Amino acid sequence: MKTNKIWGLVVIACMVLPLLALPFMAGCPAPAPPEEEAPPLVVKFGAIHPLTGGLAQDGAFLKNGIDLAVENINAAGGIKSLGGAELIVSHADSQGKTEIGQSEAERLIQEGCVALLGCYQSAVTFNTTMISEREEVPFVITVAVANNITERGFKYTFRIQPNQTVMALGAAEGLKALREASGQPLKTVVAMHEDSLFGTGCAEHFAALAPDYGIEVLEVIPYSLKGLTDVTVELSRVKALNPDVLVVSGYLGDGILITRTAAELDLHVKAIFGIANGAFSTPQFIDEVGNLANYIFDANYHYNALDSRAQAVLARYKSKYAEDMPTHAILAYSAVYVLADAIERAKSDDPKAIRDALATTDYKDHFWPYLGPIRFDETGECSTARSIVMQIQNGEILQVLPKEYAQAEPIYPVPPWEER
Amino acid sequence: MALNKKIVLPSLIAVAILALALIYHQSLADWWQVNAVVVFQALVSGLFMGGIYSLVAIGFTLILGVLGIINFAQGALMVVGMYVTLWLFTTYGIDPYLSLPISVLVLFLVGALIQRFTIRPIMDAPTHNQLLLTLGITLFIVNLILVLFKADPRIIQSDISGTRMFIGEVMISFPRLVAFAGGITIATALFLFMGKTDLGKAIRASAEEREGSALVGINVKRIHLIAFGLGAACAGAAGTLMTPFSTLTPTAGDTFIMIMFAVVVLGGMGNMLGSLLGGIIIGLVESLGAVFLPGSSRLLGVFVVFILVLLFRPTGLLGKK
Repeated sequence: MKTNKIWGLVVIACMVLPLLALPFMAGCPAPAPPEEEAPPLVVKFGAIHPLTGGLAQDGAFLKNGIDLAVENINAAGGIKSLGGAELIVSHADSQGKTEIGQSEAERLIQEGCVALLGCYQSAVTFNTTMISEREEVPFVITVAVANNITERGFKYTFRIQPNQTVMALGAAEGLKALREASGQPLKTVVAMHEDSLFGTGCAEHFAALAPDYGIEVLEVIPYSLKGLTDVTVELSRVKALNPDVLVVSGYLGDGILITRTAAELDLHVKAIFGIANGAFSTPQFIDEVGNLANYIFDANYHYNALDSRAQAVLARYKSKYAEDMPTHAILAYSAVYVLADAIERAKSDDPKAIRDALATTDYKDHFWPYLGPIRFDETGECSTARSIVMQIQNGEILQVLPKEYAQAEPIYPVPPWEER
Repeated sequence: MALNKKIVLPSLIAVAILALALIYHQSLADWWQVNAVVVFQALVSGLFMGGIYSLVAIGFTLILGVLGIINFAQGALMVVGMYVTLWLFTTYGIDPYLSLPISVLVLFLVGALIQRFTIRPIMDAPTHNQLLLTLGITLFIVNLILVLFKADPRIIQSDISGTRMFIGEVMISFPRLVAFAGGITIATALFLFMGKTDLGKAIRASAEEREGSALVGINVKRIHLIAFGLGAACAGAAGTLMTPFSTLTPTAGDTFIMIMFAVVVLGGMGNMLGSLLGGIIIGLVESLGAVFLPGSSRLLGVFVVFILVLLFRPTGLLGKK
């Protein structure tokens, strides 16, 4: 009996003692760090996009764009100023939700990401950039258009794409250029917009800028995306006002409905013209409405299709992922290059040093129809960003304005609906 | 005194409106000049949409009246009808109108299955449990469609899509006209079925007095199965009728559910004729709302009607006192 007890104690001791020893083991001095820190072999950054949920398809496009850029940079020798350090990306899923985007941003920074990319949605980006500002880790926006993201005096947020104001400016400039190129009257405009942050902002900025470009906005007509089944009333109002051009800022579903209803109503405007429209320069729109898509304009961000470098990237993407590369994937691709350029110049993987290098970016090797190299102003906005005017002709999205980027002549006024 | 008040107040309001109209006479005339067509167009569009609202609401009312269940899934079932039609169209090229019997049958079966396996076990549970169950079914259906068809908006371009005629400047869209006529026809057929046939009478009897009908030999469980199936089939028919002119998304039913509540309350809870009438009125209110209240506020008129009815005539237009 007694021996049993002793054996029991021994067994318990064997189990407990290693536990007691644990803290001491953890406290053991690690091997002394070398005097001079060797250059890091890898530089890790994070990317947050909606990889699941309703926007999963778009999230996948952006992820692919980033992966392609990382692959290309590493194949070309990585970050040379850091001894050819390899670029590594850690993808996180925002699920399209602000709070999840925020917690993923925190997680990525804790895991040692030296910069973040994201987030496709303005609302999510608004929150994640707040985290990166607090943690002093630079954030390069892949896609997000809302102005208010950069209106908070943040030092760590950078945006390559045109924001809402620039999109609205692009539309106003585009309409003026269209008038001059065609020699046809283009004065009165009715602006329709979906009434959330995105559509409202675009339409308001446009209405404010329009008079400077000789455009009179007769009326601004908002519509709600919630349960939108009918825009007949809104469009018959447009018909009654009889403007030269109908401008629209909205998304894909409403763009489809507006186009079909305008054809039904035989709305005889001289052009339908999108401001950063989520429908009017996408292949999905053409797939859905077919011939009705023809002659519709859109002022939007777009890579310069005439640039052979852009075509090379498109071809590589297609051979790797067996699908066409949409513009937002190319924005994500470019964001990685701008970040890599900053790390190269910072000669460091310290987030603060990378931020300072981003602030002095002067990136010429891009294929966007911008006014010059990619540069950031003090708010982190790309000061050279411009949108471009496209028109759908024969089921193809073609650049038509400004002239130096034109793949085809703009057609204005557009033919009546039954001839499309 | 009471009588006086009833007369005096409305006449005061009427005088005030007339006075305002006189003051703004010129600007009103100008407004009318531009917007007359818009108003007539709104009336036509509202009437057509109202027919669809009536059809969805009648199915909802049937389920509410017979089973005593507030079926939140009605909007989602309508979306199922849309996607069944889309699937038949894209896979087999079946015209939306030809697929109407198929989608009605499919939705009847889906409804019957839902009733048999989820509603029946909780027929005696508290109302809020039943409500949560139908809400859960909605979420399940919407997400299933998301998985199967993705979130991208889709359309069906059938031969009738985009066809229309003009009366003066007012556009009459044929697919919308067909949807309206179809909705009213199906709703009326259902109404007659309930009034004239033995099965319909049995359904009404079990709605009035569940235990009594069981006592006289009506198989109430079977009646519940059929009633839920018919309610779902109405939603499916509405979904199919809408496909030639609407944009399909998995969440298209969300706002429908809110509008349907307004329709059912306006018509009188459980009153099928009331739902028919209520659907058309709400369609008109919503559409005229779009003329005067832009954007998100176009539904404001609908909800004002909803609240006013609840406050002043909670039994609805045709409900029993």
